Amino acid sequence: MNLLKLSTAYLKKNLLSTILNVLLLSFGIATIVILVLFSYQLEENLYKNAEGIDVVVGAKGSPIQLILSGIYHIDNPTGNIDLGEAKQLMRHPMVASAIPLALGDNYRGYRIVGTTTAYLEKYRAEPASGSLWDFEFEIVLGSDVAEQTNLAIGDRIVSSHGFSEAGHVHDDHELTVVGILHPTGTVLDRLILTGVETMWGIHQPHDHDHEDEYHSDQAHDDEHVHTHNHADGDSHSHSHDNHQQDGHFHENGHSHDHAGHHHTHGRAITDETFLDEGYDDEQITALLIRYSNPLAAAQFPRFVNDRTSMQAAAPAVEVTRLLSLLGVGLEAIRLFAFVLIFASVLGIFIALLNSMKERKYDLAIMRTLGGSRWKLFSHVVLEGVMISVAGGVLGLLMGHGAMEGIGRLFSEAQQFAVTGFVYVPGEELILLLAAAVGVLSSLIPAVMAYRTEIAETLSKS
Amino acid sequence: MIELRSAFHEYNAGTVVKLPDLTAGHGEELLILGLSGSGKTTLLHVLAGLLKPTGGSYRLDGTDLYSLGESERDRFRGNNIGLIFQAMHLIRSLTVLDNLKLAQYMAGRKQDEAKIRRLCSDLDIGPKLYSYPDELSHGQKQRVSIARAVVNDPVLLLADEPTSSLDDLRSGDVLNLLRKQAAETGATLIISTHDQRVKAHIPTVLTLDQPEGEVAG
Ligand SMILES: Nc1ncnc2c1ncn2[C@@H]1O[C@H](COP(=O)(O)OP(=O)(O)OP(=O)(O)O)[C@@H](O)[C@H]1O
Ligand SMILES: [Mg+2]
Repeated sequence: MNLLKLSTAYLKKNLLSTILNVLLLSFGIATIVILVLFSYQLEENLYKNAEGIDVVVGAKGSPIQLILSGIYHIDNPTGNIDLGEAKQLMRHPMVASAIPLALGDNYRGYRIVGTTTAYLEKYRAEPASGSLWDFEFEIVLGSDVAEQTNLAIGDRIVSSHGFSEAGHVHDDHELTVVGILHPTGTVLDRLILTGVETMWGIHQPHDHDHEDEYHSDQAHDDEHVHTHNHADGDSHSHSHDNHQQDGHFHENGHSHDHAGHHHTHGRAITDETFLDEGYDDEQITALLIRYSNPLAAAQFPRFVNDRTSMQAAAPAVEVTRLLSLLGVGLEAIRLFAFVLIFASVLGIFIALLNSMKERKYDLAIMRTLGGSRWKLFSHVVLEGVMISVAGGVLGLLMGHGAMEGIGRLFSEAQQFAVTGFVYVPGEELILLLAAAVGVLSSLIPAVMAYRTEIAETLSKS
Repeated sequence: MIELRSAFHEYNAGTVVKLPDLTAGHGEELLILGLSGSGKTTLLHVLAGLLKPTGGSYRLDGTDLYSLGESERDRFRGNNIGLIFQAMHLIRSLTVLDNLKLAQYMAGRKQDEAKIRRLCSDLDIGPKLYSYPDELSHGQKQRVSIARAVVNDPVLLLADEPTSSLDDLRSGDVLNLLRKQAAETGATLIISTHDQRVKAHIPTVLTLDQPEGEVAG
């Protein structure tokens, strides 16, 4: 016999009310745990993906939208910018590095991003199998994309225009999977990556005319990467003679045959050659820029916004703004959790209070058997704490379980994978909160136990 | 050896209960008879260290119980005094075994299951160790409450109206059990009752006076 066994015996005796109180508290705790896990992963995702990006340059419009589309690939892009103009910024002395992104297509909902390999290097992404693209129309899959679509190296796909599966299908350009990336835990896992020139190639006008479709689709104008006609528009080959500054691009030209088309696929533009390759009248969607010195943060965005037709948005600023917007909603849920927890404080309090009435004699007997006032006090507090810690542990488990469930439920729909199998530093402190709930709710009943007058109680039998 | 001298207790309500002078040695048996309201329960509570008398002196084996601190007094009581009540007040959420272990635990003693088993088979409740009080007959409950009172080998065994609700036969049983258990540990046995039948078992009788006129506080 000890206090733990003694308290357990009483809890067992009132099993129903014990279980109800444990559950009530566990719901409150679980809600808090979900919030903590969610905000933690959200913030981690937001900051991790934006790491090393000081500013995003894109078409004018909403800065949040530019950040969401350019870094997190959530919202639609604000539009396109001319590569020529973009290159001027890339050469700007305040710019240490700039990664071009060309958006506009998807495959089964997964965005296809035309870029250079610098984009993959930024996220330390390496192929788990296969290699990175060397030629136009070669694609590399993020780890989630590969897993969800079951595509393998050598498979060929056609992309859909826009950012939903419903878009017009660019069935005249097949894309070949040449590599699959290691999981990076970043937005890259859910992207299909290729060279920028692939995006230009896909959107080149062809024999069959779908201009009408383009114009009927409002969003389309914003999303469309390629809006101008090439002189050699009827050819599928990218032999940009007109852009070429030196001969090497053509020499690297590479011709192969698939799906009955005769494409001449150009060698991909590499990061090193990007600035010199030409294509200045092509378009891209955004530039991810890192500054060469911290002072640029004050001057560069203003320069872009005031002097060019483009806009610059700083992820640090926009993410903070986004989180503060989201914070209102999270705050409401947090409030709800605390209401639940307060209800369980009341619940445990009432349960203990009722049982004190029944247990008056028991408590008096324990005193006659030699138990001190403090022993009875601890006995009752322990009972409250046992309920609340059980609720806390259950709530922790339920919170993680629910987070995992939510993560799986939306695993295909969302850009940020959330999981329940994550440890947030300090989350075990919630057990302290639970214990505090137990102490708080048992305090008054415990004082009543402490004040038991033995003789008076026993003579009232 | 217990000694109570010129003690009285004044309840908050202003009722003063005068307690008789009383001396009893180890192994002695004492019956306290009195009508309802004559102060039997008050006397036993004072003897048990549960109720500090307003005046007078009380010593148990030389210890002035009421000069001890409260926790010390609780512990002293748990180790030296066994109490039996008419309503047995067993703890319903604990088994018989755990009720008895609780007595050892609360007194701060070693929990000795072997001793409990011996005691219970002495009292014919051996097979009921794992039963809950609600699963016992009245007589069995009474035996458990006796076992609980003697499990810590008290020097003083106090029983308040142990027989009032029992028939002649059963009341004789309970008295015999109490006397036997008290004799085994050499405890002083004090039984208070208004049940005249008890006189046949315990010859030493202290009769309490009719309640005195109430004094306004
Ligand atoms: N808690 C109390 N507050 C005020 N007065 C009390 C209290 N307990 C007992 N008394 C009074 O003290 C006197 C003695 O009461 P006590 O309970 O000792 O009598 P008793 O002999 O045990 O009676 P019974 O045979 O009915 O149990 C009575 O007049 C009673 O009214
Ligand atoms: Mg009485």
